[in-house]
Amino acid sequence: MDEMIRIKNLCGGYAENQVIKNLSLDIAKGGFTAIAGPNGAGKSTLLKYLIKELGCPESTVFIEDRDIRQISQLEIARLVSFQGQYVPRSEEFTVREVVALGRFSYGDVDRNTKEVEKALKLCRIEGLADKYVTRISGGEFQLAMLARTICQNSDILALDEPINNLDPRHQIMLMNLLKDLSANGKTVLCVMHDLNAILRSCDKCILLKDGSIFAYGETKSVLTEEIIKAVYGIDVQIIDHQGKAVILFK
Amino acid sequence: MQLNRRPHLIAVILILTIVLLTIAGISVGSVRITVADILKAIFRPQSISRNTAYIIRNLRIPRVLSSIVIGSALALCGLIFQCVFRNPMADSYVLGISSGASFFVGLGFVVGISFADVSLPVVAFLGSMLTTALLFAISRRNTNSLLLTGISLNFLLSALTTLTIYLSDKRAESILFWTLGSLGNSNWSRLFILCGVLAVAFVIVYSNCSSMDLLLLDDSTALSSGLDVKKKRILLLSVASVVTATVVCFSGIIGFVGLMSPHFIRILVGPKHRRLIPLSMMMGSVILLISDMICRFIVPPSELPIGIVTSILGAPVFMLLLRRKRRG
Repeated sequence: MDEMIRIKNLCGGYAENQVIKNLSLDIAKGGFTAIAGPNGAGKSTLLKYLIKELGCPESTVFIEDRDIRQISQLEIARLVSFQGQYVPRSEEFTVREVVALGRFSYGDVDRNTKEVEKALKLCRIEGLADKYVTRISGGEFQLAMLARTICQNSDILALDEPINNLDPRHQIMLMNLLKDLSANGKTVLCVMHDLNAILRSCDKCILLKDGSIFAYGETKSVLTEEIIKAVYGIDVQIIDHQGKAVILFK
Repeated sequence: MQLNRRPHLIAVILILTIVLLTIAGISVGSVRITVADILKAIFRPQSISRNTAYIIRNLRIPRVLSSIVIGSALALCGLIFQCVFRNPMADSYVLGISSGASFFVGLGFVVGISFADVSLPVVAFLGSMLTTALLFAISRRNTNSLLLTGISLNFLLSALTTLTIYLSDKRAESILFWTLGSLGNSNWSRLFILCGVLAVAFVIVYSNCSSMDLLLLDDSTALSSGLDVKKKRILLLSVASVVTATVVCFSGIIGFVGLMSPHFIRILVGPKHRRLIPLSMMMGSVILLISDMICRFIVPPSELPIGIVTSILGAPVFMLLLRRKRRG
């Protein structure tokens, strides 16, 4: 059993708005997989099924071959950690306090300082640890939330647009960090819009269109000029720059 | 380091304040009582006059202890509502739970229940719990619609309470007095019930500190961290509703303490509930002890309804705190 996540004929969304349409997918253990596609294609919705924010009516989503409906919320947290697009920060938690909340499913939020320090260090935000989240930049908060996700120490990392708000240096740092985590056995699933970042860093890419998979496979085989044109309706040119593929938008 | 030390310092200051206010609260009133009298009444009641001993043992001490317990309970409820709705303005008054109790009490007066009737607290309790049930049923447990439903219910029930005042003619003054809150009916048996309910509520809420911290982020983050958000919200709201109902049925409606105490402490120690819960409860006690003394001090031998004092004290302090909001 190499599949970490298996989705079979998933249909769903919000109330009467069916966002996901008959989607089937196998994601192997380990590896860095990007989920891309136009706005409204169902990328974030797909991740919400993995954390049981949206409930499956039938046996359609499996993690480690177990029907997600049979897994408790606490157990899900130890299997999948999630970082959403928008997290309010109206309360004056310190960065360390927010990161420590990632330990909730282990019941050691206020005790396991070792994991918290490790996550802070991995995200290179040790210097922000005692600052209030209301007084740091959007990008720094994004890194703090990623550290919280890492602190959760689950096998799957499901991240919704984690490089938004980050400057280029932090984008590269974060992508390299995710690559390292996937190389160490974590299954990283990442919703992203930056096709060049996907091309540079991700092993595989799931390209969604209208709630269904348009293409899925090795990144280079998915992000071709033809497929990008078909999915996004834009003309691009893929060139080779010092041995690396780069997408130019016309 | 500074953050870790400060809650303890604040706790010590609050505990000392509560002790001092307790002594002052027993002394202040239409009959002046000295500290020596208090000690005698507790340890050697036969050494002072029977009247003084009675006043201290059966009127003042239960009343002051009720202020401590009710203040704590109101603060705990305010904290829960603010956390669950992620809204600083949420509390049992905004959601109409207190208004539900006062409407039922108003109805009780209309049908002939007297102010001293033992069934009055039961009627108030019934009103609170029915309003909570109605709130859940109408909003279908959706947090956003719950808050809006609560606000609508509050308007409706307040209007209906006013109607009962209008219809009850001679009893209007009693209803009005009850809706403005009073600790004048405190006694030992009521105090024991309040203590029991608050103790259970505190244990449940304090064992959910981390869950409440997570609820302050967003639902997706809380869920993916392992928190069953819906179940936790229902549990916390149920606890807050039972505590509100118990408090309202014994003391009438006392506003602002539940709203103000958590805010005040949050500014000092931040949003972590492990620190926030006990300190807010102490703060609630302090506010109510001071308010109760003012009620008894201003127009002796009669007293002002405590709800008026908490609102007059609370509103400007609250605005001042918001202006000067800072931490660290």
